[in-house]
Parts: sequence; C-alpha cells; structure tokens
Amino acid sequence: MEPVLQIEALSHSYGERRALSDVNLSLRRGEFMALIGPNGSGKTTLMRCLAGVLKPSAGRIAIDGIALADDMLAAKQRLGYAVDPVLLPDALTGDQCLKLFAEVRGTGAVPKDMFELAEALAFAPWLHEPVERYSLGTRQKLGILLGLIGTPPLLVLDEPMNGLDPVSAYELKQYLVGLVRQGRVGVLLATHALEVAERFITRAELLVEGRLTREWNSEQLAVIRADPSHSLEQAMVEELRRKP
Amino acid sequence: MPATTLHPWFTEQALSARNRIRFARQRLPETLALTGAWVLIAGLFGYLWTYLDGDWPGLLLQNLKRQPALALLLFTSTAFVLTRYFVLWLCRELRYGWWGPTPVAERSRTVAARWLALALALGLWLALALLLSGIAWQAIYWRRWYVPLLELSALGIPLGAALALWSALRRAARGDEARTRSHAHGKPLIPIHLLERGALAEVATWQRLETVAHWRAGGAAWALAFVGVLMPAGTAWTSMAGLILLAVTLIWFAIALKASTFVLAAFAEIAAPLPIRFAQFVRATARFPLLATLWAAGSGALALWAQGAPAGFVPGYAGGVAALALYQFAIAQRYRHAPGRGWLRFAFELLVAIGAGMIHPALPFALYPLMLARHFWRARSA
Repeated sequence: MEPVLQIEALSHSYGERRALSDVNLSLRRGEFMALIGPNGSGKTTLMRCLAGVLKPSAGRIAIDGIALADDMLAAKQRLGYAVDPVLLPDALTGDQCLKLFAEVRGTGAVPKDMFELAEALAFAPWLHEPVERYSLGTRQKLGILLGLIGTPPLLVLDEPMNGLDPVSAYELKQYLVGLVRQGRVGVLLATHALEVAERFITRAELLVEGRLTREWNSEQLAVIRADPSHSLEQAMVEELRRKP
Repeated sequence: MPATTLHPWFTEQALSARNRIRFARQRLPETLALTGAWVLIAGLFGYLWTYLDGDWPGLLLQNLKRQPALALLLFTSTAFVLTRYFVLWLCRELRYGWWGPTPVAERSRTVAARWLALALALGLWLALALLLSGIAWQAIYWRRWYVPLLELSALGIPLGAALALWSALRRAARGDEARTRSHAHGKPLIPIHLLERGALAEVATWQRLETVAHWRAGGAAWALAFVGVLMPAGTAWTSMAGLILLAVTLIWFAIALKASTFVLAAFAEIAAPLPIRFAQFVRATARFPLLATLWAAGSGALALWAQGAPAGFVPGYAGGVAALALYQFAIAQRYRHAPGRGWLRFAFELLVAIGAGMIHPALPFALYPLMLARHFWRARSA
C-alpha cells in the first residue's frame, strides 16, 4: 500500500539556523505515529513543512503519493491539519468556520460525523457563539474539528490534547483510534503528553535538533506498555541523556 | 476548488463584518456611545476647520500643483507604501494564517492580492477626492489646483498601487512576506545606558525596541513626502533642513508615544498579578516617554531655530510638546486596561482644549493642571 506520507531527505533552515536535517519518514494508513522530542527540536517546523506553510530548503514531501512541490492543491486535499487555536478568526462562529472549511474541502455541507464529534467533545453548545468568547480548550476543539472535516487520509495534529478536559480528550482519542483501526487514515501527532500517547499510538519517532534519532515500533511500545515500571517518557529521557 | 475561484478569505471577511454588526447591535448603548464620540470628534474638527484664518490649505495645494513632478511622486509613493503594506499583510495572513494548510489554489491568493490592491487604490483616490473637495469648498482660488490635482492623483495612485502589488507579490513568491517586521527588530543604533538602570528597567528597553521596530518598519517614513509640499521653490537650505528635521522629529515622536502606550498597556496586563505599586509602575513606564519628549522638544526647537522662527516661539513649542506628552501619559495610565478608549479620550480632550482656547486663551491653561491631576488620581485605582 502506498504510504500516506513520505518524507525524503527533508531539511529546513531559518537563515543560518538549521531546524531540520535530512529527515526521512514514512507513514501508512492504519498507523498512529507520535512525533516526540524536546522543545525547539523541529517538530512544529516539520508540521509546517507538511502543511505547505513553509517551503523546505531541501527534500521531498509526498502526501498520499502526490508530491507537495508538484501539485500542492491535490496534496493538501489529502491532508487534514488541525488549526492552531490562536489563528482562529475571532468574529466568526464555530458553525461558520466549519461551513467555510467544508466548502474549501469540497464536501459541500459539514459532514454529519463532525456534528457527532462536536457533540461528543461537548462543543455543540458553542457552535453558534463567536470564537472570541471561546476558552483555550474550546478553541482547540474547533481547530481539531476543522482539521478532520472530510476525513482526509493524512491527519496532522500538533499537541491536540492541550487544554482539553479529560472527557473530551478521551472522546477525541477514541475517534482517532477508530479511524486508524478502520485503516481510513494515518495520524501524525506531535505531543509532549507521552503518558497519554503511549497507550494508543502504534509508532513513535524521536526528533532531536532537527534529526530523527530513534524509533519505537508497535512491538517495542507493547513491551513498554506491559511493564508498569517503564514508560515511553522514561525511554525518551534515557535516549536524550545518552546523547553526548 | 477551481483555481480561479475567489479566495474564501473574502467570504470570511464578509461573514466577520456581518457578525460584528450583529454583535454591535446586541450592545447598542455601548456602540452608540462609541460611534457618537467619534462623530463628535469629527464634527469638532470640522467646526474648527471653518475657523481657520485665510486659505492656507488652498495655498499649499496651489504650491503643490506648481510642482507636478513632486505631486505625482507624493501620490505614487503614498499609494505604494499603503498598498504594499496591506498586500504583504494579506499574503502573510493567507500563507501563515488559518488558511495556510487548506487546499486553496496559489492563484487564488494572487487574485485576492490584486482585488485588495484595486480596492485600496480606489478607496485612496475617493478619500483624497473627498478631502480635496472639502478643502475646495472652503478655498478661494480652488479652480487653480482642484482639477489638476485630481488628475495627477488619478495617475499617481494607480501607478503606486500597481508597483506595490508587483513588489509585494515578488516578495511573497520568495516566501519572504514576514521580513519587514522581523527584520525591523534588533538593537537600536545608540545604546542609552540611562534607560538600562534602575528598577524594572526592561520596560523602558521594551518601549524603545517597540519604537525602533515601528520606525524601521517604515510605516511612517512616507509621510516625509508631504514635507515637499510645504517647500516653495528657492527655499534656503537651512530652512529646508529645519523643516525636514521638524517633520522627522514629529513623526518619530508620534511613533514613540504610540509604541510606549502599547507597551504600557501590555505591561499592565503582565504586571496585574504582580506586587507592583502604582508609583513603581509609573516610574517604569515614564522613563522612555520622558526621554522621547526631551528629544522631540530639543530637536524640534533646533529645527524651528534653523527656520528662523521668532525667539519666543521656540520655548513655546518645547513647552507645548512636553505638556502634550505629559497629558497623553496621564491618560495612558488611567486607561492602561483599555488603551483604545484612552486614545479616544485624548483626541476628545485635545479638541475641547482647542475649543476652550477659542472662548478664552487662558482657559486651556487653567483647565490643564486640574484635568491632569484628575487623570492621575483616577489612574491610581484603574
């Protein structure tokens, strides 16, 4: 099966500062991958390159077999990217935001499953309120819903659990795990909430100073989960301490 | 989505405008009060305009019409700076904002930028036509300049907007839209150690850096072009240098006050949960505006002297600048949690002072210390 995300020799620099160096990564449908790493390791830069917001200095990104550099529009049609809560327009209501994105994604009306998810996330009462009245958690829910509209095959979420209450976080995980298990999507999740992530991800990649330095596959994660004295967080810290 | 479709940003703006009107209607008393205040200020300006002696705006425009190349440069550069600023802002919004990762064709962004440039050029020309018509209504020899200046602006504004669009799109194509602001930051040219000493010295440094960023972003440099209007042919070089220095001083001073007030309000938010006394807060936020006022007073006085202004006028100017800055500072302190309302209040009270001066010249001087004390008093508990 064609990988839903294929990154080859990706590098990016901000002026003289190199943020990403020779990153190679592949993700398939049915995979739930966590991108982990310390602050400033390049996670957000990588996400922004995937979203076509940043043009990488070198390398190639293909989403569902379509290279971003060749056909950005078609590639982005296959990408669901959760909107950063601070970027949401204050004067629009949640409902208006969803309708606008549904139109852009070509789904016509907002898909029914989005309203079901909004209900599960306790976002439904906020649908007709302007974004400026939302709390951080409510903004986060809307950002996630916007990224999931039309269920594109690649979902990219940057710290989606930030500010979510436990019930909403649980519902979101269930929803994403459901999509992954059905083999409809591949999920790339950048997160620091390792104790939460390790329970449902199928793979973890450690990004340090712009380089992917370590991978944990599903078998290794299962071993970590089976041992109550061990955790992914601990494994990551050990890995980071091992660095010279 | 087809490549030629209008960017959904336009739909977003239309929806936002509709929602804002709806929210404003829901808060009718507040909306009416705010709109009424601005209408009142505009009305007072209009009223004072009719009291101006002679036909000096008309004479200035007549002088401008005599130098068509300068007039064309003025209209072109104004349109260029304004359009380039907003087109780059739009490009940043569409690339790095919430639309960035969405599947919208690159061409839609370009089309959106073109529409914006067209709307700006049209809006600028209409605003200018309205302003010129307003001046012509009061002027005596309006026939000498009105139509030629309208014609020159009709040529210069689209030219400036087109050049700005080309330049902004070129920069956006390089993914370099955000450069203006980020490059504007940096170290000021001259270190001022006086600002770096004492408690909460970082606030003064922050105010200075914010001023430097605004100044280097070039947001006001274009206004210097207007200085050319004031210079008849054959002006002595000392007078010309004085006029340029005065213009630079006043533009920089306005930027410094605006940036200082912005930082004051931002620092008030940060300091809210901290155990900082009001006097400490005032001292921390006053140092840079005080220095800016001293510079504006000194440099402006030098400029006036170079222009051969009467001896009594120079200290009068310096005192006026200091009094105005102190008054604005008092209002900024009082409205530190609502800076927008502070500026509204400042504009309103400035007009009231001018109006009071028309009733009796001593009246503003009598009211000044009372109002100043009142603002500082209210600021303590704000």
